[in-house]
Amino acid sequence: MTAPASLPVAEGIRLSGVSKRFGRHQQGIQALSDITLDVAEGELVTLIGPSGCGKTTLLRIIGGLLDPDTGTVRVGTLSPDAARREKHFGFVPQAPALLPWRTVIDNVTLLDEVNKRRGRRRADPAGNRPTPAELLEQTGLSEFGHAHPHELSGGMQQRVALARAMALCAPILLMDEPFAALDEITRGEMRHLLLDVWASSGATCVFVTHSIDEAVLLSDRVVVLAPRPGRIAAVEPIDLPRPRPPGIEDQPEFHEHVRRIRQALHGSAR
Amino acid sequence: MEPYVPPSEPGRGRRAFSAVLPPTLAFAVLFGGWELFVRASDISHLVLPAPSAIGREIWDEPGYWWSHAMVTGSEALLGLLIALVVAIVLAILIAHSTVMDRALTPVVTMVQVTPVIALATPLVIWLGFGLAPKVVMAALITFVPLVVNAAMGLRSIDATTEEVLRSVAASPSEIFWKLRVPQALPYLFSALRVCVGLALIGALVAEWFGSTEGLGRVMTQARNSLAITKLWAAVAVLMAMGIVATTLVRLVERRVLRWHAPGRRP
Ligand SMILES: Nc1ncnc2c1ncn2[C@@H]1O[C@H](COP(=O)(O)OP(=O)(O)OP(=O)(O)O)[C@@H](O)[C@H]1O
Ligand SMILES: [Mg+2]
Repeated sequence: MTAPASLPVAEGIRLSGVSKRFGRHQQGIQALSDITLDVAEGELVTLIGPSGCGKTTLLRIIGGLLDPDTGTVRVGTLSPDAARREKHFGFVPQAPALLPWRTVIDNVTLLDEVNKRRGRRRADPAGNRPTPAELLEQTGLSEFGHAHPHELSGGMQQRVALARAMALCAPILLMDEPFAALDEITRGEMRHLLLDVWASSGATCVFVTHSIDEAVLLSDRVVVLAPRPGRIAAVEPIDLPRPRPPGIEDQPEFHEHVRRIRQALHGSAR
Repeated sequence: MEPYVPPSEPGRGRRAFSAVLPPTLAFAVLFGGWELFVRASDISHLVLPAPSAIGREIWDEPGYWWSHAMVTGSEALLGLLIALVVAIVLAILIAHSTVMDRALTPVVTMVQVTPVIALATPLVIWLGFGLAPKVVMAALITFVPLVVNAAMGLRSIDATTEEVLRSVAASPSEIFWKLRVPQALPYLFSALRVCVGLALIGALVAEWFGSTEGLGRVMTQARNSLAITKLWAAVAVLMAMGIVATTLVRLVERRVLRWHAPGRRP
């Protein structure tokens, strides 16, 4: 694993009173209601909650892909839209969403090619940004740079999506259940890869998951969302040592966190 | 870094052999049976000429058939190219704006339900006996499948992939060139495969209704003089042209869409 020589500047995220409703007044769905949350610079926060509680919606609002009805979102000093134009987000969606006609390496450099004007402004004289070859090495894809996505397994495709987000060297990583479709073993490898990437880049990370174990293993804080309307039910700080020691999943402190989050989830479902 | 080497395909020669053998056998049985049937029965050549007689008709005058085939072929090709350009422009408008979609889709549907063949006579009246009515007919007949498929392809982009591009504020034109166009290509090619045959039919039919050269002209003359074998020979030449054109499209498609995951082609 090669770490970038120095760190990109991380940025905090500040949500206050964010609400979002889909559809018209009566039949509509209140997807999010009065969400207030601060994510510190360099912090890794996971969002967990039952299906349909608005996790993806919240991530899209932070990323400037969707406007909230009420409330404000700040990314550092910028609005989400301005941050998006400055290429501040490394976005990993739930599906790999690769371009099938591009090779792996061309998929990784895709986001550099678009919005070029801003890309140049983010050029770094110190050479902190990883080269495509370094990214492929870090994600274990060195031998597959010239393969097309359909020649890769699902886990490898997801690693390409991760490398694509890392290529921007963005101060903020937004990840929507990136490992949900993977088998248990691959998922374990991907979690460690993510922790490596996050630790070496120093980026702020908002991570959506369905897995309580995953949330506890990865996060500084776990935000439990409750459905209808989507709201914050509990926030659980995770005070486990970093880097996570091997076998941490079997320790009683780990289980205690899992138990408390499960309780919050059950309490909110009632 | 080791360059990626695609897995080699063992027994390529044998695969090609097994791809060619079944259709060759099928054709041999079909034409052999036809030949035997005509020779065994004393059926008149006006009803059904033997394949060997049709073949001889073409073999004896290759220059004659070549020049008429080129006339019909270039009419069809020109019509197809015009239809392709118009279809791409309209498809972009339809895929990009709801207003354009509402305005243009009924027009496309109207062309679709029009029995285009019936327009041959007015086309000849308007445009004369030359190249123009044939080109227009070939374009009219191929236009609808091209525009419908191209619009569908341009619209079929994956919403998640679009969001990835939007997450770095890609412009609409970047999304168009990097995502929509490559995504539409397989749809366009599958329409083209059908349309090369249709374009030939369009040019031929227009020739029936008034022309001085081309395979349609050959056919009407042959009919009038009861040269039935010659009529069949014209059909055979058209078939050969259709096969060559479709194969060419397939070859180009294979080159251009090499990246496409198997089974994802529409
Ligand atoms: N574009 C949309 N139009 C209408 N309703 C929507 C839209 N996007 C989301 N919703 C609704 O908002 C609610 C929250 O959706 P969201 O996708 O954020 O849930 P989620 O927590 O990500 O669920 P999952 O875990 O299943 O991915 C759901 O009830 C969904 O039906
Ligand atoms: Mg979701």
